[in-house]
Amino acid sequence: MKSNITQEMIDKDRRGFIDKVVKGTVGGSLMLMIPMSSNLFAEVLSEDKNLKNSINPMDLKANYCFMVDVTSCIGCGNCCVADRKENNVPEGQYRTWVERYVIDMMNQVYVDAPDGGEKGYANTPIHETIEEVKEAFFVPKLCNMCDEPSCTQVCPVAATFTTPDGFVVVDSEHCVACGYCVQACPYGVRFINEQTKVADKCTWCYHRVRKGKLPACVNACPTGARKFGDINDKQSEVAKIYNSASRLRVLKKDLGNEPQLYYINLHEEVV
Amino acid sequence: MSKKPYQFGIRLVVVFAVIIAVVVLGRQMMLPDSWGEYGYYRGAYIDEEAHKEIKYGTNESCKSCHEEVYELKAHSVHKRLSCEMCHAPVSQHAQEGKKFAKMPSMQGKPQIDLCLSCHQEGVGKPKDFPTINHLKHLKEQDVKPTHTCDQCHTVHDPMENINHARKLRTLKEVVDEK
Amino acid sequence: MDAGMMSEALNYVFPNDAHAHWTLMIVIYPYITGVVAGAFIVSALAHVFKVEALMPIAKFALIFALSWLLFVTAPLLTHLGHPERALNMLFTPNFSGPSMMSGFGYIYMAYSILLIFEILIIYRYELVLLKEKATGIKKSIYSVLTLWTNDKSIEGRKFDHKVAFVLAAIGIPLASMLHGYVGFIFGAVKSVHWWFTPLMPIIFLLSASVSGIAGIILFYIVIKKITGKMHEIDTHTIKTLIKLLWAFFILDFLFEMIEIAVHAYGGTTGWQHISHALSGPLHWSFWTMQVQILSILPFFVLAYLSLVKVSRWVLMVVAPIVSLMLLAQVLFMRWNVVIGGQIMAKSERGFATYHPMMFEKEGIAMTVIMLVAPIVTLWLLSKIFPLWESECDKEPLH
Repeated sequence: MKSNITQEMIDKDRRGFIDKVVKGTVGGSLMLMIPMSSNLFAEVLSEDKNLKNSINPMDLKANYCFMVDVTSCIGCGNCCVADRKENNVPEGQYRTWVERYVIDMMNQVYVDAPDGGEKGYANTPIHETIEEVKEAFFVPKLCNMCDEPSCTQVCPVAATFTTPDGFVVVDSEHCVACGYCVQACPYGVRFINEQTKVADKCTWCYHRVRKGKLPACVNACPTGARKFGDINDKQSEVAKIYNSASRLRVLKKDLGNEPQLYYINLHEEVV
Repeated sequence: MSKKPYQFGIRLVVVFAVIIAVVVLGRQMMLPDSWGEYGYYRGAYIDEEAHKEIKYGTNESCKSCHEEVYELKAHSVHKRLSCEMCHAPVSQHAQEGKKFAKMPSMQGKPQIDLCLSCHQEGVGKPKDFPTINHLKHLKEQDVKPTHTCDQCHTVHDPMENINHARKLRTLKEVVDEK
Repeated sequence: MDAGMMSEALNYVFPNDAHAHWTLMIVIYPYITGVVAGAFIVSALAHVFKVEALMPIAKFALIFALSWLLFVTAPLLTHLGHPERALNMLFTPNFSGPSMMSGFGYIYMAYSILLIFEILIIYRYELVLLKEKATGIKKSIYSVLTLWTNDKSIEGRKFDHKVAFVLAAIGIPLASMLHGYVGFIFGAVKSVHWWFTPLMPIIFLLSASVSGIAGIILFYIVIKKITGKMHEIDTHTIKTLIKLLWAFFILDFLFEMIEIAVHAYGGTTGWQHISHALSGPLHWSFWTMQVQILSILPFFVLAYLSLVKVSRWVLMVVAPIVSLMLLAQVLFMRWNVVIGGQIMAKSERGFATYHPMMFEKEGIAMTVIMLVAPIVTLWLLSKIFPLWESECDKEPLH
């Protein structure tokens, strides 16, 4: 039995080797024959419209929502890294971050987010005063894209507003950076961008959504803890979750902002 | 010596009217063109925001040129992992179909750190997610502590070699497997 | 487990929330508008409600208000990330919020026009007389201020008085709006427990009146002392101002304390967060300074000055001191509201920090400059507008 398997392995190796050689020769010859025109590659890439700069029209029938499954998040921080690069977020400021909650045996809750969780939690030990951990979990945070936003209500110059397709954005050419929206947001997701000196926040990657792509953080999440989609699209993952008996919760519900960011399996202790 | 007692009052009213006129006309001139197009805001901004540059693609962006690796990974335990998490965003590698820069993958200690950023055991990680204690893991597997992860696990299909090895040593591994 | 280590472990603020964004500039902005509103109310009491005791300082109150009014926009422009776009508040004020802050542009403009018009009307006759005696630049200034009119008739002066009355009457609600809207800016923010109360506009307005009246008392006596005219100070005026100050201060302090008392009684988690802040980072600035030293103490001093027949000398010494204390109280109150509200982090698990530096753009030095500048301006304005009652004011109107 052993020898058969070994033989299989060797055979596979041989096949693999031959495979690679043939492919390399053919490919290499092709490369020599066909000029490296950008058209060819553009055609290949545009099969799925990657990084194309033309945008789809606003989908006014869509009801976008963001979902976060707390039990799937592993605190790797990849979402934060992707977001920072995608949206040119200055160091020290965060459009999204991941918090770690540790509950000890005396029901004391310890929360931290070193560097917003961007560097992951692999090298961040829990606080030395914690003796025994009862429960621990990670909670990603980002703009809640409220249906009744506090921020758009208080902006004195109407620079931050809700687009017809339901995204709250900041007009960086009109904002005077008074900071009122930063004070009014109950979730602390807004900040005054140090470089552009205007108010800034997570936009659920509006520029990606308008090109048919998922937000950068959703794309980057290795476990699928972050989900994004149109509830009105029955085929989407979020619609399926939304229309089933899942325990969806929002943050600070009593404030009446009607956030569109839903948490699945969120603990009571999270604020 | 003007004897009109109301002259001052009238002139004050004129000053007031001039101020109002300046404000009204000024507002007309300074109001951005697309204001009010969709609502009480500058409508042109919606397109400005939508046209912002994309940096990250999706795994599909890599598929067209790197199909073999893509397929390998898509059938592995790393299928949900974004290629760009370990390699840089595709916008730093190819533009309009043309590759303009290499995207070397990490080697050595940075590679180990990258793998551990997800797989290091720690509080808060879900129970069903595979985590290890790095040095303990290497010791258990009888592997030198300086080994990088990809010397046993091929990153694009981490369990490929492991599963083959287990098949080879089936009798022994069945007993030891968790 | 060490208590300090424990509280440090439990402290958590959202990453964007770690430092206060509204700085000293936003602390002194309501302070300055408060002094303006308060001073105007004193003048309105004289002109509209005909409180005779306040007539000697009615003109002074207006010029005092004007000198502070000119610096209302200074802290805001310093704070904005894009001050060159500040006029956006006039071009696109947010009606659909409605955003209270967007009212600022128009309220401030309306009130400035009103105050300046009121001053020009009340001073018109005097300026015409001064113009006749002046030469050079001063003459040109007076020409502009009188809008090139020269009327000295009694009908003219009667008309002036009528218009002044109307403007002052309109000015009372407008001055209240100028400062009341600031209270609304804070009071309507539901995400900050310390701010979210309907009492906020009332508290702000009352403390504005306190600061305005205290400012007038202080500078009335100080200016007379510096110019060696202490004997001209009207005891009855000071006494009336002190009583007025005491009355407004009682109401102000009452509302401030009621707000806390009701919340403390309710004991919600929002209150618990506030109470940790008040006993923690805000302990000194709130309990020690604002309440004990600068509220309770002046309360008794003012009670004594109001109810007991004191000698003129005692009045002239103690009144400026207690006025200064109340001016400081109002400043501490602004600090505790603005900075305190931001210190109470939105994560409800800790405190943010704020450490003003001396020489940063919105720092301590800039604050001092902006608080001293109105005084300097007052001095400059006094060269054009005589601050006190002149002979021409006493001329009969028939």
